[in-house]
Amino acid sequence: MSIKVRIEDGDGSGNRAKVTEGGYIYVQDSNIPPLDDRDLQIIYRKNLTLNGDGTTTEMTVDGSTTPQLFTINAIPEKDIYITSLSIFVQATGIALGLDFAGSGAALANGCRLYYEDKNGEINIGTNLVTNFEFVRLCQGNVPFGDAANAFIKTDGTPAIFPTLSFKKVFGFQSGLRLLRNTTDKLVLEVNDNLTPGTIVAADASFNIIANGFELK
Amino acid sequence: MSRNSNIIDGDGTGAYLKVNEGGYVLTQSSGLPPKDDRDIQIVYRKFLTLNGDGTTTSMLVDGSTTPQLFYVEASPNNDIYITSLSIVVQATGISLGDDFAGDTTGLSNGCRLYYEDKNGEINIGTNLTTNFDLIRLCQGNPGFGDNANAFKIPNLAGKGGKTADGYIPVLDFPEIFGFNYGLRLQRGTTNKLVFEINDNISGTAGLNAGFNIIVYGFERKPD
Repeated sequence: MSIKVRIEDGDGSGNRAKVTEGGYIYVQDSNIPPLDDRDLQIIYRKNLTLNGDGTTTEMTVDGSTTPQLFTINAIPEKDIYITSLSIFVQATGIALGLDFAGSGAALANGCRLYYEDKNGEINIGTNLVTNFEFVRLCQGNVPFGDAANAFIKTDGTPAIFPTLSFKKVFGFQSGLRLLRNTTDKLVLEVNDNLTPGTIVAADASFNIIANGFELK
Repeated sequence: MSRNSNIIDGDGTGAYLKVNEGGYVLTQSSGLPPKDDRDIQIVYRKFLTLNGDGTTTSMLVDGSTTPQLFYVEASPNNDIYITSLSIVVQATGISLGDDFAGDTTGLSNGCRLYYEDKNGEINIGTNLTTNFDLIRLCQGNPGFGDNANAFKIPNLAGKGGKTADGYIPVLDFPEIFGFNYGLRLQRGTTNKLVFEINDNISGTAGLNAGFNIIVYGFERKPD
């Protein structure tokens, strides 16, 4: 047999916690965070880099023969939660038509965005052959501009900079996790020759920054 | 008979849990995820495909005689939570007036978006006869553009390599319907999310038309 317990206010007011007919306890959440002196959360902001070298951020490379992989990787001590990706594609003449970084045509093979954990490779976006495919992957976030300049920054060298929110798009409340001490990674795979001045414009630029936090 | 109890801090600080006059227990949520090394959440991204064949993504089909169904369905092992739908409809001359994919009239019967579970078929959107009906279903998300170009991307390159003006509404289940984690397709069932076409869109759509839907969300493995 169980003991029935009423939860009573610790300050001695006599207030008692309510439980509804459905069996729910009434709770009210504070508008301020708990006072917690532990040092658990650290801002994480890194570019995807070639083979995770930490240096090569420019993704306008030749992946036509051998796919080129830009990655961020799990680390030994802390979980990494990736909350968003800031994608930047720049080129004179960039457009949301048949174009990638000023190429004036869709890419033949296209890029692939995926992550890799013990389930294998999980695709996030495939056949990313145009600028628009990146805008769509990000579900039109951030929306701005008008007509032919919708989603395009026109000051300076024209560019798009869509943002992929893992919480908003995929429902991962804290973001995509790279589990500590594993080989988990997030990868952008380039499968075409994106060397500036070949297919894409001579002033083309392409990079991705991952934002989120590390949890100790 | 019940016993009155206080909940006290396990660290021995002497702090007591408070209950206010309304009978509410005061809570404070951590901003951090719980430490949990289980591997239970996987990214999910799929097109709606004809009869769930996994291949046919273009929804420019003839549903005038027999309704044509594009869907994703439950998986045997994992729950699927659908957080959002990305719709693209495009065609030369597309508009938010009486028009669906450049047909300049709107559809006669209209499309239907629904899901199917043990409660039967639950409508999400019905009588979707125009581009605007899709924009409205998505509550104008994402909002951009101005005047005749409101919500419109001119010269958009969609799937299939066609270029035409297009709309790209996004249906956000948590935002619109209050499903915190999205719409669930329960594992081991025949649950499905369906877009039904009831007109001959292949015959009436304008030049360079395109129409497809991508589903976003996550798979949740059992504990």
